[in-house]
Amino acid sequence: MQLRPLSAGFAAFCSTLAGYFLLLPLRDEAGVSLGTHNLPRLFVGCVCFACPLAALISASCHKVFWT
Amino acid sequence: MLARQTVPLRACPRRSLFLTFLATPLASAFLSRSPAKERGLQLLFRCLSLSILGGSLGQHAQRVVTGGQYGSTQPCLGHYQPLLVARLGLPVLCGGQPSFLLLPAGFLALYVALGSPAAAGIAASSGRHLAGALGANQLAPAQAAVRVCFFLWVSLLNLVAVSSLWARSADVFSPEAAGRLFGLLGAGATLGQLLGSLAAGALARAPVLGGGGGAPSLLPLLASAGMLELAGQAAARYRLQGKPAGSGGGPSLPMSTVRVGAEDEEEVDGGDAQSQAPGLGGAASGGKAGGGGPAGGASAVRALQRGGGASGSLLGHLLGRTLEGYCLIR
Repeated sequence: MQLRPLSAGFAAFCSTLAGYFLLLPLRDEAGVSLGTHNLPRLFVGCVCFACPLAALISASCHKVFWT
Repeated sequence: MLARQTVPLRACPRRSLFLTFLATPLASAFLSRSPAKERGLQLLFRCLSLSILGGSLGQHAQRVVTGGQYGSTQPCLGHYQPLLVARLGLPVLCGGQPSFLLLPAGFLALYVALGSPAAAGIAASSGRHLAGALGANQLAPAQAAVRVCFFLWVSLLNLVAVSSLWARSADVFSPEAAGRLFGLLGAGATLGQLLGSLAAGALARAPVLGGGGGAPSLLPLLASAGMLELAGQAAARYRLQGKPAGSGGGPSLPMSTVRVGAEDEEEVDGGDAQSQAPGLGGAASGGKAGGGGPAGGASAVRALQRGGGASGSLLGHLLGRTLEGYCLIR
């Protein structure tokens, strides 16, 4: 009954996080090669970057998903 | 050394803002044209995976220009990367809709946005030839800028992908089923972390494909893009089966109707569910969408879009979408 959506969601989460964790060493290497003293500034930049873009993407997703 | 490091970092917010304004009309344009919810999610994931390919393309273009010290074979290999990416990208494009012909434009824009620091980096890195090979702190400004962009983009990608998947999960399952099944979804996420870490370890021992010069190997990037495309395929099948009314088939159904249908299936006493339906729908729309809030925001958005002329319409559209996203918070 709910086996197929469950398996689809399981596969989606699994492959999304597998893809992210494939990129994570590269991201960390990039961060370390920029200098560890720059990492706080990088994360602040992540926040400043993510706030408008997440709002933008959620707005467009909202228009599609829930209307 | 510190002063040289701060220069690209100070220039980075401008560049990432530029990149944001280039990369996001892509996603919003495709999402607004998609017919169904799960299809929209699949398109979002496809955009994300293609953005990884675009980022890798930019990184390698930058490496080809700046990293000539690693012998002649590496630039030759680097020249093949656009071909490789085009060959990988074309079947993806042809599998999509005709409106996907917009995709190469955004793809190339991302490539140009990531690759254009390379032109500025030629003069910087031609003087110190071996600078990239010596130490971590001796990066050319272009290399540092590409790394900063990569860092920001990977963080954002994870945020968007995981949050949209959880949003879709909350949409697919009823609250009762969510209590039972979200643990299993979390187990799937943990399994994905494990598999991704194992695959990253294996690919670190694999021969480097097109890497060197400080740029990462292409193999994890390609594998990650492939995994995101697989996730999009799975997300396209992420819906309740065997239910004609509420299973995400009707794109014109409002969300509250879908939620009431799910409630009705779960709790067998249909009369109570029907009588509770307006309260439930109101609560759901108040919690998630906000009944009147987005309308006011949307009117402001329209005014903003009308205010920006023909030249600034894209900027006005983007600003309007961002404002709309902030209005959706409450």
